[in-house]
Amino acid sequence: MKTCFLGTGGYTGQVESRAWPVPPEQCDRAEAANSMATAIRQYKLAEEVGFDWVSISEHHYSPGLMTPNPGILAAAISQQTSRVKIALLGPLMPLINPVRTAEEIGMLDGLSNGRIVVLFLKGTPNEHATYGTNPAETREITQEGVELVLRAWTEPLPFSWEGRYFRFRTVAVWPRTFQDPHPPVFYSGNSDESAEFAGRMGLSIAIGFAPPAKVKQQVDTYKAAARAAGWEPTHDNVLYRARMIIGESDSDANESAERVMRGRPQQTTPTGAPAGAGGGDPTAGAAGVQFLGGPGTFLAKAKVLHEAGVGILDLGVAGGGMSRSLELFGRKFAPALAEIN
Amino acid sequence: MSTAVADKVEVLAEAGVGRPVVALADGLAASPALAALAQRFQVTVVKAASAEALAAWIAASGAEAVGVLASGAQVATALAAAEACETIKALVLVSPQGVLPVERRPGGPAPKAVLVGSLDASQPRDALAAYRRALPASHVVLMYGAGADIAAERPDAFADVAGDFFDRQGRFAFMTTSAAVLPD
Repeated sequence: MKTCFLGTGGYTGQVESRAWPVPPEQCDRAEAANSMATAIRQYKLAEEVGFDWVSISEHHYSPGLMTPNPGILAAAISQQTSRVKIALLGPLMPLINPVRTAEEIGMLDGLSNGRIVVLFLKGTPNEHATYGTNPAETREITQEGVELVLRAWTEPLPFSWEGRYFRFRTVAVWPRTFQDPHPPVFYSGNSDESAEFAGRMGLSIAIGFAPPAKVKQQVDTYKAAARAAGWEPTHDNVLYRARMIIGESDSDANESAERVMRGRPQQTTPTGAPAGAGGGDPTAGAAGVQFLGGPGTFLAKAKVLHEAGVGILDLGVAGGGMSRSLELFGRKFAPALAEIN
Repeated sequence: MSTAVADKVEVLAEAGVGRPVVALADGLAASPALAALAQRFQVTVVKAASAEALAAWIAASGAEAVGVLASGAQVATALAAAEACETIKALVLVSPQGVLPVERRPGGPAPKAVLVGSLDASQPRDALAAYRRALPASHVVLMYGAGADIAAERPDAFADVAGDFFDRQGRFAFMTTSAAVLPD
């Protein structure tokens, strides 16, 4: 299995409240700069300890994931690393200009010598509130946007796009992506409808935080749609995003989890409801992470996910101790995961 | 051109007022797109026995400038007519049947827009580039979510693009609608 480090680019300072949207007055300007430098160091460390990929999300108006434009952080990472694939997981299609994003990813793929991977998402309810997007339209916007980006990357001559949500009378993207015909494109596999779209379109899928049985169900749906479209996905087409708390042993990891539980601030959604740390996974446990334990426990769950069709684990470190966790992961987890084929 | 040749054009439907658009598109007469186009143009849906007949009929109309809209197999007829008739000032070509007919008769200097449905399985895989190469200085428009019968499947979008192109040709790349949210 391949491994991907899900960095956060999170704010390293303290905030009084994390209720979304978090007031900008809580953001210390110097601390924000320090946060970004810290994020870069973590991504570099992830490459050094053996992760195959690193990933960056798009989020807004929050200190938790300070990457409203993941492409900017990806550009910085591309100049500080040389081996890892850099996955934008992902640009939120209802919030962006797809053609502009196609251009930017063309730049990024060149800057990184062809190491870019991209996942286009529709975003969560708070993201839709960011620029006033109609939540009822986000799925259709995202699907149309993906098709537009793919066209923008592959049409050799200028063309016009007359969509339902996007109109561009002139599209002619420079620079072309380093990868031919374009970087690997993922799509959400979390719902049947999106998994079917990905299979039909020849895209890869990403599933987040779901229990293994649900993962298998979604992969099966995806593969059926792909086969109907005339192709067969492999493990490399399925990414699983999870949080982890790891240790030298299960008891070591459990102690870390208890510290995380004690120190976890209350997070809320725009409606005021508590944010679900486990992402809907009933197997995530009290700490709200999908992977909790030492190498043996971790690998056992990884094998179950691999049997469900997953080939790439996108792993965020829950709680503190980032450097220790990354170094431990590289030493005791990554080599064993690489053996799972 | 003789009057006898021009007589070989049958008018199927007429609608609207404004600058003239002649449509060689059998399905257009029954499409809501016709009414939408007719809000801006005098649209005449015709059936022409030949390109020569169409060119003669347009020349005999006395109009100074005519836009021609054609779909499917009639695209070749429209292109050939444009080569013979300077009155044809712009062409909108919808779902052409392959590149070869377009290459054979590229239609002279009149500006052209080619509309292709993104779901039209009958089109060649490289349709957009192929049509653009075959018709220099043309605009190729991918109509997202439509098959071959774009006028029926996306009538408003069809009428908007076609109308905009007849109005402004290459300048249709610039929007004329305001970006202001609440101007007053």
